[in-house]
Amino acid sequence: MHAREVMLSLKWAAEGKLDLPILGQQKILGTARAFGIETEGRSAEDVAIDLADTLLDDLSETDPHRPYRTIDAMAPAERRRVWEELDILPISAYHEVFDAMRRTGCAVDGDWRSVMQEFLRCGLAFTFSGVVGASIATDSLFGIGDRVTSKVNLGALKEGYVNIAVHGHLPTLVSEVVKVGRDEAFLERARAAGAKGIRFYGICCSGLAAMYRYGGVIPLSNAVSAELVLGTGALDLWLADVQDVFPATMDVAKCFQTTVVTTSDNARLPGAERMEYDHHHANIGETRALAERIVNRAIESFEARRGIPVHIPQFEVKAEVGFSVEYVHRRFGGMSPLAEAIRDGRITGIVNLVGCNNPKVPFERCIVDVVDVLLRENVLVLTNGCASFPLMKLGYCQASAAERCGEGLASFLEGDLPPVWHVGECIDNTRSSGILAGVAGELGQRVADMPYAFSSPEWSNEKAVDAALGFRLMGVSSYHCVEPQIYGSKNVIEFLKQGTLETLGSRMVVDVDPVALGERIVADMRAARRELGWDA
Amino acid sequence: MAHTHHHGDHGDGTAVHVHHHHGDGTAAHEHGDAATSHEDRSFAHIHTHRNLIGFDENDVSTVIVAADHGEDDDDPQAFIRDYNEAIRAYRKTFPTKDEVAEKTPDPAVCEMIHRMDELGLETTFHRFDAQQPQCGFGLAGTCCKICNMGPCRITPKAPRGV
Repeated sequence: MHAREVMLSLKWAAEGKLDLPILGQQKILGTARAFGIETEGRSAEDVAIDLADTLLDDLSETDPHRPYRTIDAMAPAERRRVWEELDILPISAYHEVFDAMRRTGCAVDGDWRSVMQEFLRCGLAFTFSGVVGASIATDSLFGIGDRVTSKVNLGALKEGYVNIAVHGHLPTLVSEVVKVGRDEAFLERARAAGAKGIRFYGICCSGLAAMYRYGGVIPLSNAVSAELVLGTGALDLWLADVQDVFPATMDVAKCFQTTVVTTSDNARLPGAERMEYDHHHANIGETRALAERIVNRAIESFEARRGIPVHIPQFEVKAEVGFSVEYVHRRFGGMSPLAEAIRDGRITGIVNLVGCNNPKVPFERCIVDVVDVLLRENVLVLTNGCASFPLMKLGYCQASAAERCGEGLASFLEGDLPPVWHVGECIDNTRSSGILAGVAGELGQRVADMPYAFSSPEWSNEKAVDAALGFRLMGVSSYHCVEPQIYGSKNVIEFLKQGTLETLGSRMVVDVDPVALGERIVADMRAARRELGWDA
Repeated sequence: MAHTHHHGDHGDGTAVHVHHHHGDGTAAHEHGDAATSHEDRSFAHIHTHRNLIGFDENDVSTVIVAADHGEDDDDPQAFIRDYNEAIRAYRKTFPTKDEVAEKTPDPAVCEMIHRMDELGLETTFHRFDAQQPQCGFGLAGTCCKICNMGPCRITPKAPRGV
């Protein structure tokens, strides 16, 4: 849904139906070339339309003879061969989801191996349409963004401002709302209402993506602790779109008269006000008008809420966000300095540390404990999404966190880089896999053979299963502190934990002890390094 | 019938308990209390026709011995009993809301959990406490509500859905 909306937004912006500037022209042209779309002598808008259409077709095609273009353009050739041999190349994202639903319906597919094969197909479809496709469309329309320093955590909430929090994943309306909130006319209106100004905060993904593109959207919390943010009483407007928005937040919002506005017709909260695109996006041309209504509503809400008690914990930290493949190229001139550091052992390996939170483990504790082990052992950490919040809030995304690292990693960071590189929101896993593939390519190795790991210690939602699967399909093993609900099947346990080792080059490890999990990741990385003949 | 040879090594060091399934379908040793059964680590000489699934010291499912070839004659009833025991032990690792407030590393989160208690407002952590104990069939993945002949769940008495 997220992918579809941004792909359509790119197309409509290029067609002039959506009044947003196309900020990622370089990205569009570069990506189009990778897809074999003609760019010579054509406007960025025309190329963008073809690119958006290609991504949309990969999303929804029913004809099995049409190639899945995103995989052909973006996946390493070696991987595409592996997937073809396993017969798991998807027909389209929609088709595979439909197929999965059909075959798990009453008395259809009774063969667990065949069901698992479809599971892998869905993983590829999710990765290449849901993540990579969404990321291409988002970067093309909204620009790639850059490394920025942000304040994070609740202490950054300030009384006396019109406080607007964005929660969810969809960038189109959010980008416009942030723009309106900076418009002098609206700031005037806010001041006339007695506020010092308008401030934006982010919960979950939208906040992160907005932060490194527009700056000034302060990340406060991940999805599981959203109620704690509302519980401060400091928010005038809560802007919610899709996924990870728990309905119970409405009850907390009511207590503090925080206005809740939902913007997606398929993600409504009973009791919230709806300022949404309709089911057919017929009002896509009114994006600016919608954004203005939302900001005006926030100013009204500020006036109505005067005098409501506010309790803001005084903890505020700085964090750097917005790392990307493009940043690595700018900072280091290419992938080779990073590749060299891994080859010679200053850096043991790279972990993509992502995922959600889960009350089955102590909140945010597992993530921090795993990362502490990794940094001590000179492992570079990439992070995004909900799991990145404890790392931001506790100072791991600052250069000063180098003191938590082993010597090798600390030396590579040159005093101005944090040991944990925050790439943004969940779909920015594309950036992380780009870095992993870029370094592997530089060293002439397969991603599956590199000292890499994927870890979502506190995973919980369906997206997390797919995210882990996406990296598993690339040959990167996944590590978690929460067990999936598979105790009842030996076949599935064996398949998920061990069974893809020979075919895909990856396995799944679960250990509820985060320190043990971290140590296992390091041990497996060292084994991979020895296999490559890198360490004596 | 249960001849055993050691194949491969278990360098990962997870403590596991194993059920040697003999042809007569009885488990080779009793499945007692999770803590004591982990003293039995005598899986050193196992020759197995398929991957053996066991549960580590946290009762998380894992492959403890990789297969050689072919199918074998495991006792499904014993497996069902084993994993239900593992699930009971796994549940014990879940933290309560108060444990979360104690262990969570961000002091702002800890402060707000207490503030929400003061205000009588509910959070994810309150709701998780209230959900315990969570359904064993759900945790095992052995409940199906897809069609209207159900809901079906897998038990020793009912090893197949309708």
